[in-house]
Amino acid sequence: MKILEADYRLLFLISGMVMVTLVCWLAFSLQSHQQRARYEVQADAALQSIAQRLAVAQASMDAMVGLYQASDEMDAALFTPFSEELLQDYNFIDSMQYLTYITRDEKQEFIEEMHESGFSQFAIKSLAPGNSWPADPGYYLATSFLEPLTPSSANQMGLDWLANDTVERAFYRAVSENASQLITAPPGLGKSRQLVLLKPSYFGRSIEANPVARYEQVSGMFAILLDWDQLTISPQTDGGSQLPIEFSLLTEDGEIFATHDQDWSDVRKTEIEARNLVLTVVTHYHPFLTRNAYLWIVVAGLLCAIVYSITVLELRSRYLLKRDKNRAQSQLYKERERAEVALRSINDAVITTDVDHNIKYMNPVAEKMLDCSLEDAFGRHLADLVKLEFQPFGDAIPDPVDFYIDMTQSNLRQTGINIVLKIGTDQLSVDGNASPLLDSQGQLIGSMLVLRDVSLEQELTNQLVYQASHDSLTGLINRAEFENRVKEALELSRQNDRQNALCYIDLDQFKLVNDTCGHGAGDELLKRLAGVLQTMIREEDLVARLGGDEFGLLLHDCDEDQARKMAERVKIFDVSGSIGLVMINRMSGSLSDLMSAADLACYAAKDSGRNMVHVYRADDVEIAEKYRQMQWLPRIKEALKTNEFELAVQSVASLSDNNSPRVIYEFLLRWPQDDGSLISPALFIPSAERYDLMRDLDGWVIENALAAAARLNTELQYPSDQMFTINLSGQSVCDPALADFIIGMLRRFEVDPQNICFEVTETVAIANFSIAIEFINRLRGLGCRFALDDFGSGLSSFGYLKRLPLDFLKIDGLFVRDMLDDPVDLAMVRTIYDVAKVLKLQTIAEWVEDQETLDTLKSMGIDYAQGFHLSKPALVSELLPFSVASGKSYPPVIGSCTDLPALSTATND
Amino acid sequence: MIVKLKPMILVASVSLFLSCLSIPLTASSGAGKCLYVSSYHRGYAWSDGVEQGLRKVLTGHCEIRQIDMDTKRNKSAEFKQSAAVAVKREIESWQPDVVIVSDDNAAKYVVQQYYRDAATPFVFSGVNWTVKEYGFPYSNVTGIIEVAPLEAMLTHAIKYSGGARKAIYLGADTLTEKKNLERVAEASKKLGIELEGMLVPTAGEWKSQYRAAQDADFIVMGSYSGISDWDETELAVFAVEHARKLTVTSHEWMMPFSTVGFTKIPQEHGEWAAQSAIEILKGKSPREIPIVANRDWDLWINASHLESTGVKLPRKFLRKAKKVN
Repeated sequence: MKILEADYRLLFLISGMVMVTLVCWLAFSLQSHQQRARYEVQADAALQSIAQRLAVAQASMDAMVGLYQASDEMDAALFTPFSEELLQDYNFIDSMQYLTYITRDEKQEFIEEMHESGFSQFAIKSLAPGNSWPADPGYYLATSFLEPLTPSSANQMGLDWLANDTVERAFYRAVSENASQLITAPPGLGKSRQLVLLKPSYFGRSIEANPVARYEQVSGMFAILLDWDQLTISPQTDGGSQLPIEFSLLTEDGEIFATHDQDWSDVRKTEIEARNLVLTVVTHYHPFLTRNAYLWIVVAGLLCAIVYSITVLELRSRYLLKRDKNRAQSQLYKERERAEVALRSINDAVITTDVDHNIKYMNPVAEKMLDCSLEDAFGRHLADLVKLEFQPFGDAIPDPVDFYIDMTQSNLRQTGINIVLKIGTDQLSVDGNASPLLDSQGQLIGSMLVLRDVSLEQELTNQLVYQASHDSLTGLINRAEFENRVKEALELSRQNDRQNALCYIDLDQFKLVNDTCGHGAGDELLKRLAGVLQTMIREEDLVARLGGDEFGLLLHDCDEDQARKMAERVKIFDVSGSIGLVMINRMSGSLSDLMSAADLACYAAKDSGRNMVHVYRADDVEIAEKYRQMQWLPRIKEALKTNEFELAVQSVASLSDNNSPRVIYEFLLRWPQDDGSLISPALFIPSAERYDLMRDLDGWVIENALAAAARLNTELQYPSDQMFTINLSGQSVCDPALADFIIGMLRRFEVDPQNICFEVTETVAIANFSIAIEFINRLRGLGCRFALDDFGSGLSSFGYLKRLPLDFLKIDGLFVRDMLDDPVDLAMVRTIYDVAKVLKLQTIAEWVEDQETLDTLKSMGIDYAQGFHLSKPALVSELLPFSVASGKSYPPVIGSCTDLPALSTATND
Repeated sequence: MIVKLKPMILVASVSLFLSCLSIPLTASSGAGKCLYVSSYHRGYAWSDGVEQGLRKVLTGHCEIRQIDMDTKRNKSAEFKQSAAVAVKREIESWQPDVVIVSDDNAAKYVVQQYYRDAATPFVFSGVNWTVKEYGFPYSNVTGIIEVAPLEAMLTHAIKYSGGARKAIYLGADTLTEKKNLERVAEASKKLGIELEGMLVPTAGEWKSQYRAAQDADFIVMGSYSGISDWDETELAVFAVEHARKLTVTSHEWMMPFSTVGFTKIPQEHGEWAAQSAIEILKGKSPREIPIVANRDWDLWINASHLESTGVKLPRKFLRKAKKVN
């Protein structure tokens, strides 16, 4: 690129040289041509002018001579006015003289006449060089009249012109030819470079034609002295300057006068009338383009080209520099404009300051955030407008820029700090950033502060924090936050040796409220209870919802009595609740220990008959038992894993020969122990429900029950018109995958769905009504049947009963067991029976423990009866050679329900 | 003699001093100093004319200082001598480069008496007719002689008076007028005119002689300068009332008493003297500048006299001449 630039410059230089040289040559040629033409014009004009002037002098001479001849005498009255007129009109005439021609004899008389006329010193003087006569002259030609007569010219009076040879020759030639003679003025006339025009005068009015006679007749001679310089002044021609023109006047005898010695290279000649005078014009004209002219032109062209090139390149350089500068400025302006647009468009407040933190710029967001225009804020100190505080403590940040710069430079962003911008009475949560502004040399010129309104984010954060620590339903703090507070209290107790109390409240029968009144009612109950609890505790105490129907109280600085009283106050509230109370002191264990102790105490209170307050003590036997029971959870999981559970069947006898199915077998869950005993489901089912293990238990039961049903049918040849019932918990019914699981098991074990009946309690069915209906309908569509278990004990609604798609209604054994002794129970049984009949449901009476009850039920029209009076549950493993799950074999069981072995426990007792 | 001269010198000195004070000095751009010495006084027509011509040419060439000897009004020889002494003192004290003197008294009492062939160059003007009586030319003196166009005047008088040959010359009884009378008589003799001279000392006698002159063919009017009781107005009226014959004069100031005038031009003298002074200032010696005579004159006619006398003049003469009523 640089090579191209250099070539370009060289080409530019050479082209400039050639161009300038050509232009110079053309200009000089044209100038030479024009000058030559101008010279021709001026030379012609000069010749013509000189000829005209000489003609004027000649004409004047002729007039003077003619006048003299007419008057026949020369006097001052004749000479002076005429001469003065000529001198005034023609500046090339220096003077006029009349030379009186006298003989030697006339000389003295002439001198006396001149003395008489006023020239007292008049004398005849020689005009020859040296003012002497070469010989005694016989004739004189003396100046007797002179104009202008001045002190400087007066000494010319009396000069004898004939003493000069040139004049003498001219005199005789003039007389001889009777013509004017033009000669150079002889020296001694007081001025050089003069011409003299001479013409003789004669006595008498007529002039003799004979030259000899004219010599006798001569009276004198007129002389007109001409100024050569004035005579040869060239006339001014139109346009252009005057060229230097020199002249030479020649006679036949040769040059007589010249203005300058010339080489006669350019001569123009003209003749003045017939006087044989030749005027030669010589000029100083020289053509411009001589031999060396071209060389000078080239040199000049070279210099001009260099100057021209340098000038052009300099101008081009300046132009490029200016263009680049303009572009840069334009770019800078655009970038600045974009920056300003960007600053205006961003959502953050941007404030720039000078080094003293005086505000220089704010974008519109900043103006809006600070409620102050840039015009008003300009020049004010940043701290006057941007007032930041830490929240919630209100500590002011004195200099926002320094604060954020320090925070940025330390690479420390303090999370969780809420900084607010105070604007009058309002405030905004802001997040900020600041950075120093440096110029191109790295000098600090100011700072920039960026503030972002994070009020919304802060509010959301606060909400999240609140939600993370509070219960959304009741507004109380939740378990996690409660445990934090308990932990803090525990630490304080350890440090200060002060006692606090922890109460664990579990509402009694709250599940029943949900089941009977719906979750909405249960939630409302919880909210109200939360509000009541808050009003009942002291300001320094804390109440929390720990989950479900469980609440916690943290009572600060109170002993056991005070804590018990506080718990009793809670207990007397209409809602029954079991309360576990644990004291927190320096001897307390970990948080986990405290929470477990409270849970156990609450459990103990619940076992003690509910609506009780149980104070936890480390040596408490009851608590220890409950603690042991709490260990069911891992055991249940282990039992499921190791298939320790077993199924038992209890027959349900038909009280009428027309009933179909004729025989019903209910599968019951049993947990055999190593010592041969069986653990009652009543012991571990609550734990399973508490820890959400019922789905696993039901799944185990369903799988093993269907497998057993299949084997019982095939291997033990159970009556064809028979049905097996399986109990389902509420957790399972609500499981959407349960139906598919059951269907899969039916197919797996090739069990006729019509032989399977699932029992759900009325609480489960009603609490999960829509889900239960969907579940029931789906399985009933396959042929499975459903029975509503324990009807009556849960204060079931006949309305729900009407809407549930059921096949059997099992009357709670509480009514059946005492129906013969309690008319209400009897009426209840009868009423339930009547309703079932209306609803076309078959009825099953539980807990039939004697014959009278059986008879009464029969008479009443009850369809089926179940109880120890009829049969006890028998382990399936004992009926079949091998159990399904464990691979154990059981002996076959044949016979009516009365033949079936009795089982000691059932799942839903 | 010397003792007697001292009071006169004192008077003359005071007079010259006062005269000098009354004359503004003319600054010059040149370095030369020009002293102008007038024989007469300011207000005298001839002298004023000479001064006018002199200053017209000389101004700008040198510093001009002027001394008026006032010898027209003070005719005594003592006064003239004392005035000349004062001039001499001025010359000696001021050291002019050139001294210009006008008219005869200055030439006679200053130049001739003190500066013959001296180093100080002199230029004279207005010296009547000849310089022979003063011994001119000196090596340090040049100038212009005052000559009247007597021949032209007498020729015209003969012509316009019908060829008359008898004339009367009437003038003051002064030296100048005597010289004038001689010149006129000489010119008249050339022209064949019989001239009788009448030089009078008083106005009364002038009147008497004027009336008597009316018997001649024409009158040549000389200058009244020197007649002490001259009343110009009265005598002008008198002259008109009693004019019967052609009266010619060569003095411009005598035109109120004359019919036709052929007058010298005083400015010509002043100009020539100034031009000569300039040449001297340039380095030319006075010897190199010949003494010349004036060549110009003016024609005058007095209409009142023409009417009184009944003289008929040619049309060209009437048109050409200057007029005096």
